[in-house]
Amino acid sequence: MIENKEKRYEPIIRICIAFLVAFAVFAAIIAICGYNPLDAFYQMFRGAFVGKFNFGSTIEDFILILIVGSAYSLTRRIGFFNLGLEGCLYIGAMFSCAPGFLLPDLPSYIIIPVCLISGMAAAAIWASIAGAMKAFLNVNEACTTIMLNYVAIALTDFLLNNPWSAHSAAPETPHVQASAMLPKLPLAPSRASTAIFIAIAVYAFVFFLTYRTTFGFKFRNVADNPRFCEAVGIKSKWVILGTVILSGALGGLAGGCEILGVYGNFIQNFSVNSAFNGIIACLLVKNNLALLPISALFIAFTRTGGNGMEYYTGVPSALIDTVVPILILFVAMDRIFDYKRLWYWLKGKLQSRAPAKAKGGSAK
Amino acid sequence: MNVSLGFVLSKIFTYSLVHDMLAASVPIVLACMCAVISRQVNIINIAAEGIIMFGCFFGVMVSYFTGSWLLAVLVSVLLGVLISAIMAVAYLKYEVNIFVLGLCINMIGTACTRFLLQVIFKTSGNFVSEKVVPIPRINLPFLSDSPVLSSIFSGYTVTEILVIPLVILLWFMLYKSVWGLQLRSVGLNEMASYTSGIDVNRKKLVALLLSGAFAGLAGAHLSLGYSCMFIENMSGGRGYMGMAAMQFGAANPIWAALGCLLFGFSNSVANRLTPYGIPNQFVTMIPYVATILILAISVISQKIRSTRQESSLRKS
Repeated sequence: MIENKEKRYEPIIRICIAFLVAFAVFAAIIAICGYNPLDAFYQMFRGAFVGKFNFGSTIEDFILILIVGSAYSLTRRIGFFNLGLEGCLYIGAMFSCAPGFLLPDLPSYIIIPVCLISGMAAAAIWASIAGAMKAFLNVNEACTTIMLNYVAIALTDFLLNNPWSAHSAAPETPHVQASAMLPKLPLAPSRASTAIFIAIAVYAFVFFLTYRTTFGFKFRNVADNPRFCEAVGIKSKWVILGTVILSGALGGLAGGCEILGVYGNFIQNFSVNSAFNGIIACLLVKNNLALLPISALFIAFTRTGGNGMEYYTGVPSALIDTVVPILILFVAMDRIFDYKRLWYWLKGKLQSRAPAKAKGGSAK
Repeated sequence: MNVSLGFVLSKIFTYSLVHDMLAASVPIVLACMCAVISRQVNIINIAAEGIIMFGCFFGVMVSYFTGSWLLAVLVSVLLGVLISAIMAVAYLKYEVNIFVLGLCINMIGTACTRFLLQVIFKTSGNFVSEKVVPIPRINLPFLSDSPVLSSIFSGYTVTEILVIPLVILLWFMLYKSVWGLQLRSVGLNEMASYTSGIDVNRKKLVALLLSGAFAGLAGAHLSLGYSCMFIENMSGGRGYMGMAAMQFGAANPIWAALGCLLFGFSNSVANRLTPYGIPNQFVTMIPYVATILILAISVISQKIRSTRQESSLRKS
């Protein structure tokens, strides 16, 4: 009875069921804790979208998540589990910030590209360590990237405490020159900047690269069948290294946008696991690039909406941080929501409960 | 400058450093054993961080409500096993990528304990209470005459002392028993062990459950033995450090535990450097950089060896 061939819409239905289940769990936990779930949802929505400040904060998160998500999507496609984007983000932020306060005053059309490119270059070099170790030595990437994250955080910590310290009370670097800041969007009290155009450009670039170029063709195939690729003349090692470097550079760009668009200087621990939000956004849609912006917006919504919910209703925003990874687990093992089998099983039950009727029906 | 440097060094490298180093290493050793067991069946388990967080929180909670540290440790261990069981179902039955799984567990661990802290204890940040019963420390009274000896050998918690036999037992089980041989053969060549009649999935399940138990123990020790409180995000990367130490020791429990001592040493030295205004970041970096270098060097030396063997064959 059960057809083996899966139709295209079936995984989508399963993912929808996953969303509904996670949503129900979320509502149930809120209700158990003694709050009103409907009120919580309403405040969450308001906290994310209503008002200039709330909407601007969502956009601010969305920028970072979209860039990191695009960067992560590149390496995910070659089967490289890049946890090192956090480190790339730190390195990129630090080295985007440095020209901003080291160089003399320059017009913004020179200083902004200089800052961003120096950050990207530094992050690319940083990513190349893990990339080269994976490609040429076949060392597991999850270990090296996590360790490099800690080294990157310690390195930026050293730089902002000693040579590049602002000598103020807080551990931070001096502010970048005013012309290096990206202009803000007209969402006044929030810190959302025109970096959103950079984010959209990055996303378009990754999309184009993945589906419309030879390089994209190569790295889409390297993960599936490296031996085939070697046989037809694709140098898979160099493709892996190139993709990881590119992904690292985009991670650095995310850090640069965060500095030039939001903060203006490098503050210690300015990004607590924010690169991981980008990774989540990519995992949530199973690396489907077309859906990535929606997923990034959703994750940004949960971040800012969670704060609004905590402020107005008292439901801890940690709850939403718990439910989002659970949702990702559900999406990752979407076969658990095998609604078709359940449907046939129910059908079978009904038929066995009324055997005479069913037999009579089939005889006719 | 030299005088002051000498003064600082004399303040740092004192006999009490040994105790600090051992105490700081123990949670990492336990997290490392979690990584070691799962690595032996060729699973890279990065979920230790999340399980440690659960272990920390439930250790403190059970100890607070029941007043029994033994029960608290048991609950933490069982909880670790339970989380690992969920992971095993997702990984073995539904074939979820192990890194996605580990990443999700880590995020749930951090966020869920923060949530529970706010809901159950109505505080945020950290939780300290006199009702939390810590794991008892064993003092050796006959050493109390000598401050050096009593600092080095006395005042360890039960779990800290238990770690040494646990590591040796694990090494013995993995390398000197049939069970361990089968377990390792699953990791070395899945196909071959399947053909020889080993239930591969069962071995992987057992390894994952054991690794969860170790991570839960690490959590309970961290919140009840190493300190006596719960702090948000208190695992602070110890799960990842354990994984790095596992790589350092090439998944051999004893070498990996020695690698953890390097982490403990650098952590305690970095802590002692902080008040003197000396940049301690480089000291913090040492174990990570060392692990990366050791990984690279070991792989390169293996490659050189194999190419040398190949070329000598070709010559003859």
